[in-house]
Amino acid sequence: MNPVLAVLKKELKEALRDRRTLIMSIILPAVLVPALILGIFYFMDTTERNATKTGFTVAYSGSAQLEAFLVQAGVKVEKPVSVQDAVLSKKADVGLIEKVEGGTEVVTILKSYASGAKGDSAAAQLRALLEVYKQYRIGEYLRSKGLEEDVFSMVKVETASVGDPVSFVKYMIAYILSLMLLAIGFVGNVYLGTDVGAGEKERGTLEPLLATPANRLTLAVGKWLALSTLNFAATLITVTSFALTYTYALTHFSLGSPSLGHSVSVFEVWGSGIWAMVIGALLLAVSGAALQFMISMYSRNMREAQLYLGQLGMVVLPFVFIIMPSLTNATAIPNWGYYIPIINASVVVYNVITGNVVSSLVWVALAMDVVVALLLAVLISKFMDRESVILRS
Amino acid sequence: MVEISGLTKRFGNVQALAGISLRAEPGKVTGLLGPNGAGKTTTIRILSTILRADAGTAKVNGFDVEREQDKVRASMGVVFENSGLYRRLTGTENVLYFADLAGVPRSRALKVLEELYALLDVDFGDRLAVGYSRGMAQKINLIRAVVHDPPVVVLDEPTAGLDVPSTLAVRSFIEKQKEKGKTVLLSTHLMNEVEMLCDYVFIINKGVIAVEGTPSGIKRDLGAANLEEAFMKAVKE
Repeated sequence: MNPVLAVLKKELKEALRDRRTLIMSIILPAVLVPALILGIFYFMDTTERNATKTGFTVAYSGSAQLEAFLVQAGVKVEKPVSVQDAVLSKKADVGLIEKVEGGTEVVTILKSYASGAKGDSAAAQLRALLEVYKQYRIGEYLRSKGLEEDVFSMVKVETASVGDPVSFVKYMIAYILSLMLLAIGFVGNVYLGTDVGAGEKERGTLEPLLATPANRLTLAVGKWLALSTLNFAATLITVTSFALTYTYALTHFSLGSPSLGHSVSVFEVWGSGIWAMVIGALLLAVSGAALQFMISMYSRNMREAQLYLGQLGMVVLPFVFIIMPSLTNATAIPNWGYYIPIINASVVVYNVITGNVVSSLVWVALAMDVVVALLLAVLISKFMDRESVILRS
Repeated sequence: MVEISGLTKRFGNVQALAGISLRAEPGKVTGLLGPNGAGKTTTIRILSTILRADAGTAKVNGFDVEREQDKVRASMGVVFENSGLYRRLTGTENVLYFADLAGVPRSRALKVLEELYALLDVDFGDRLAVGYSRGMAQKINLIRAVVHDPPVVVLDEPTAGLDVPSTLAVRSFIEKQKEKGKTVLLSTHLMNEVEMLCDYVFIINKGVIAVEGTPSGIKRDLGAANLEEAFMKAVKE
């Protein structure tokens, strides 16, 4: 058997026999991620619907006219001794105090910092009702002066969304997935990373391995390929699980926005995004694995390697900042992004899902990352020849 | 054959080897003795291309450890003092992995396995190494080191910490290698083992060869009643 394949096969076999690897790489992403996302969406959706369905309670102090208006609008009105105390003790969802100051009616909405989502929702609904009340009072005033109240319809301001609501879902998916891919794909599975280098030192297998007829480059490439394969698989499982669940949740929970609350196939949202995600995960796996391997090889033992590899996520932060303006403005990430290893994985995923990809540059991105990873593999083979690295324990 | 000439190695301020020269012949067991830190393990690491010497030359089976590293490694099998196994592989998988790295055809590797499993009384080859005792692990270490049938076998304290049955098994393994005409370089602290197994002995102290000769010759030359006494005299001088 080719020695590179022998190393690859052995590393994969060992990893797949390790319960921690299986749990962290396959079971958690496949089960926990969907459960978490669906749980969050279900909670948000239920909260939203409950707030609309059950109405809310207002602790009120003010004129009988405004009180009558609120009651007519279906709001449950309480008149406690202290509006503030009623809100703080959560006897009412929100408070409302009406005063006359210098001939002007001042209406204050009181909301507790601890009122939660229900209080926020109540305050927002109350504000909308008060806008109607304000117009009603102005209309009343105009009529008393003999003026037509249709002055309000002189300028109408409306907001309308155009295009396919699925575009919004695509943008959200592209945004979150490109960042998530960077965070997960590059860092990879820390436990596997520690094992390929520091694990060999800790077990006392490094010296026997280096004393075999296989040369250092063979060993380095075999281990790098194994780590890349496992990182790629783990990343793909995690982000696929996330993306499919998130797409399902966005298109099946209305969250108060009827335009989004329609069922569409995840494939309709994704289109070519699935292969983009595969390429993105691959790009990150090869470069991330090389860096993981170097750090692991340099570490004294597995504990030290875990400490260093745990911080690897910090490496991607500058890259996140570089692409963030494009993400927040929903514009295509510029073409130079394809040429920068690590970041190009996010660029491919984001631009493909949002329909802005330049196909030829995807191959450039892939070539860039493979070249960088191979250079790193050569560097690692040199690293494995250094006494200060081999005997650092 | 192992030939070392004027080998020096320094780690920072510590002179680990200060010009060691020695020769180990095929079909003989050559002992490498010395107190802790004398330079035995450093010598073995240079021979196995893990470390590079600062000066001097070393040849394994006629190949230079500096210029012909791949051939050197193909010519020797090493068991380091704290050699470990891959715990999530079985003993047999550990051995076959090293056979694959050495390019040994599977049929030949399995034949070696069969022969050495019988010699060392290994009936646990298909169990994961995670549950092995020290003696069981050392037997697999020995087989793994010679699965590519190298002409030179280097063993760094192979019986350290082993129980009696395992120690006897290791000794029978060493004798078998000698019978096959291999060059065996044995580093050990156990004087009775040296008397039993070694044809020729080098006592290293502070990075130089303090004394060399046959075990009986060393005792005679140093006027010692036994090898332990000879050893103490050699390292005190």
